[in-house]
Amino acid sequence: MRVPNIFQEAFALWRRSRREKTSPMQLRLLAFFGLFAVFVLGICFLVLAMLGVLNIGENESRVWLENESTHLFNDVSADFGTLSSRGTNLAGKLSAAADDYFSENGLRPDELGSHPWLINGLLSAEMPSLLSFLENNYCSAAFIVLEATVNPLAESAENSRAGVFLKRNEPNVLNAPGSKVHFLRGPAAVAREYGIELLGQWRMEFDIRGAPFQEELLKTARENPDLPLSRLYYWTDRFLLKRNSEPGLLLCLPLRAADGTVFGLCGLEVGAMQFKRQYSPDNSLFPRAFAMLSPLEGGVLDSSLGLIAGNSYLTNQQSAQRISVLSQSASGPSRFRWEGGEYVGTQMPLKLYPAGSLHEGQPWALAVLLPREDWQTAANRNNALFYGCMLAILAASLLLALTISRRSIRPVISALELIRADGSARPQRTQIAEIDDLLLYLDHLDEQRGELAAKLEAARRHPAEPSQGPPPFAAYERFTQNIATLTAAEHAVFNLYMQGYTAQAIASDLFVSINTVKFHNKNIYAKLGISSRKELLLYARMLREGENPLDA
Amino acid sequence: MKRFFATILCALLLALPLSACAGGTPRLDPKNPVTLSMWHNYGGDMQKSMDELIDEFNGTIGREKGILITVEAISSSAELQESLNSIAAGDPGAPKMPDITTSYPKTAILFESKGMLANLDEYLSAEDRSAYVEPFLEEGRLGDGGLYVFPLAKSTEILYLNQTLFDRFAAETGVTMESLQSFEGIADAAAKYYAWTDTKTPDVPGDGKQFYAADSWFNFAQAGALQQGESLFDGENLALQGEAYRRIFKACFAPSVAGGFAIYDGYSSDLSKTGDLVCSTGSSAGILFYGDTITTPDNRTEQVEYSILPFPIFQGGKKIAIQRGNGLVVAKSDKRREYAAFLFLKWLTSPEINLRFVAATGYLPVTKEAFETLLPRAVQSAENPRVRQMLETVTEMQASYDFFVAPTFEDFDALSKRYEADYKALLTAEREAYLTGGSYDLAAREEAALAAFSQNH
Repeated sequence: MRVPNIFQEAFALWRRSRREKTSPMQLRLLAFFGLFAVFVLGICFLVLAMLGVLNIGENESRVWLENESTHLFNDVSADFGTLSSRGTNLAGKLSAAADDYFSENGLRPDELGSHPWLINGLLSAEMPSLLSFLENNYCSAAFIVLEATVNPLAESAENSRAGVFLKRNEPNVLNAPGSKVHFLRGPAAVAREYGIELLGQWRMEFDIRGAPFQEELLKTARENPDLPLSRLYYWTDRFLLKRNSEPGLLLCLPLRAADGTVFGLCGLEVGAMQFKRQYSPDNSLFPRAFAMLSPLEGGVLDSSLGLIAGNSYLTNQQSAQRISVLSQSASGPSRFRWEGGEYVGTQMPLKLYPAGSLHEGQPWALAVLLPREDWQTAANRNNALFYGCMLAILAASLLLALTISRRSIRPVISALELIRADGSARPQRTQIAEIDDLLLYLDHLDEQRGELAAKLEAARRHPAEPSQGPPPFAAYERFTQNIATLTAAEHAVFNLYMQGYTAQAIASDLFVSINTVKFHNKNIYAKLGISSRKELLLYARMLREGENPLDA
Repeated sequence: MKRFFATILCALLLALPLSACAGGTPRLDPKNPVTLSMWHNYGGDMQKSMDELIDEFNGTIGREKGILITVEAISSSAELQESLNSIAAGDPGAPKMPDITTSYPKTAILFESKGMLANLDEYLSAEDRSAYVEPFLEEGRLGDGGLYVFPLAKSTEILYLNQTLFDRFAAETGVTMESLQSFEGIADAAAKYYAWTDTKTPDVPGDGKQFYAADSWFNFAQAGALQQGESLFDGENLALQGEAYRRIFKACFAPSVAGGFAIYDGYSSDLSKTGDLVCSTGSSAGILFYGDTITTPDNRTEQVEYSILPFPIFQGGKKIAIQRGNGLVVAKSDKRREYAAFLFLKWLTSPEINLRFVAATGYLPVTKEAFETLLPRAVQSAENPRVRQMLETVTEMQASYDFFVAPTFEDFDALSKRYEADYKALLTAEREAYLTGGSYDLAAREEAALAAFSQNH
């Protein structure tokens, strides 16, 4: 049966129950199965609610945020720690190589400034360490800056410092063929000696006016001669070397000769592109999520001082964003505010310096953030999906209940229809024991009534013969007396039966449905004390022929 | 009811092939943007221009359509090609291929032969196609004739002249600018310059300075052969036995050995930055790599002026120069990603956007409208005077020169690299032999070197 018919039938049943103020069996079954389905779904709903599945959208987002925050924090923490450690080793190597060079040239480290013709040689001697460092570490540049200039008499010599800044623009092909480096700063002669090309923005020396941290670092190194390099290194804020094409964070370390002379600094760069490439959060769930490494100033993250990683419009159009915590949650995501709106995410303090470092007190943090509306959208989208599924299951359950109830009642209805239409066409078996029992019982009744009719006939023809068994007079009498109790509609049906019409013919003649005729039949049977059409026809014939068993 | 369901089913069945027909325009979702990685070689001073364009795309069309371009690497053209070669060769440790990258056809063909590139013809309508300068599109057709290298910006080779140094030299030696119109004239001027600079330090003999260098001696040879009516190639092999190549070889041999020509393993702009060169031939797109100062080893800087001259020709030859410039290739992927990449390329090469990039970087546009109508206006509006001068020269060359495109075949890249490396090695060795002293018979060595070099290539 097609689905729309099932609904039509269900609707007809409901209308009938309303009209007749009765409850058809199918409707009862439907209500039973339907309530059962709703009950089971309700239980499921409660269990899922207790398990927290109803917040599946938000939970999924929370898991994502926790995973991303944890793994990015671990990565950044480990990588920056490793770079700090290896940068310290680099400073040691460069200092040792410089000591050798000073010794070879009979020079005291503090005399380098007055021997500018030795600078290129020193830088050339430092190149292998710098190149090796770049080859073996994931950073975008390595550099050395000496406290000297090749031309102390040149204009602005006091701000000019000799050195080398080796830049790598291919963060994604570390140690792969083609991962070349270029000179952004440094003597062209040294670059050519090592077959390294000059960048378009190349300049020979550093202009220290744009790097105030340099003087500060050298000063602190001189004031703390006993502190190891591991306690002297310094991570700058976001810094753009003049004419460099991208900003980055610089790790700076002093260069200290064996006699304690601080003669320059060295370090490495974590470029903005490298940071973005390495630490962008997975964007499958939240395309606009990003990670930010920033110093914390008064609890505020400042993108103009740190680096951002993420494949989003926000990061591509990075502007100076000052992001502060709006509300913090120990167990879940925190809310952050910036001038353009709100973010949801996490913020974890990052330890860039070891205990005893001169810069230990400088707080940094790594935050994983996404626009708040994205967070809410994801939560609602997943919940809508869940509720949609629940509704679909409920609808399917009700449809199933309707189908099962219909299939269950179908044999009963079929049997009743057969009984009402014509007792002679009664099925032998219906595969439902109760129906079969009922049919057997009706057969038994028919047999009894047949016997009764035979007896009546015999009594009429042979009145002298004593009748056997109980006389049927009482039933016939009740039949004739109760005809007067029939309603007009029932009387009309009754009269047509008297005239020998079938149920179908009566429906057609009275312009009513077969079900209406059946309904009247039921009432007629009840009022006249009969149980089948066969019995009705027997009494009707007797009535029509004016026969009274009493007369006989 | 049956009829109703049958109608729905038929409609769905009909809609399926129709939607397949519309497969050229896959659906993009702004709420679920496609993120495309990109490598390009527009570094240095050009990076700002490209960054701004990418940001503009991401913030406008990209945001509207659901496309996000994220730049993952910026490097020199040569290095990018090396990385791409390692990807194409499947080298261990090679990086993941980006969704979009700049590439020369000679490298792109390696990817195309392995089915790793998207055929952009699938997304280019006839109307789109007609908007581009036809030869630029043709240059990007590889293998099966499909469009695999999308033109973004083109360049040719020109002569960069440090006018400040040259004027100083010309004033004392009488060498004129006309001599720079031909390679023979340049060779002659180079010899005079070396001698002139050598005399500046009489106490140090043999320390003359170099005058000229070519960024690509292979392009020099290709152009030289065509200028003389011959080709450097015989099929997919070099043809170095002809008279034209003999002249090309000789035009460089003596000046290189004597020190007037620089044999340098890098871009000539490096030598120019330190005043170690007066002129060089190189890509017009290299304009921003030439600074406006020269820095001497003692860190003194001098403000200098550059002139941009047309590509020189061999005396009596035709005015022919190379048309070069890489394009953008799109990695083969699902249709949605390919289409998103195509939309970005189409936007990037739309006349107005393309011209903005061109005017800031020194490339030539690739659409007819930008090339024929807007370029003259852009020349006047270019902010950088050096770029303006270059565009003027290139526009002048467009009117009087014929341009050629390097052939594309699978071994082309390897062949050109081998030529370049062997040629430089040969001249460097000869230069060292020359400096060692003793009896160096220039003519005899030249003949022997030419014979050996031609034989080996």
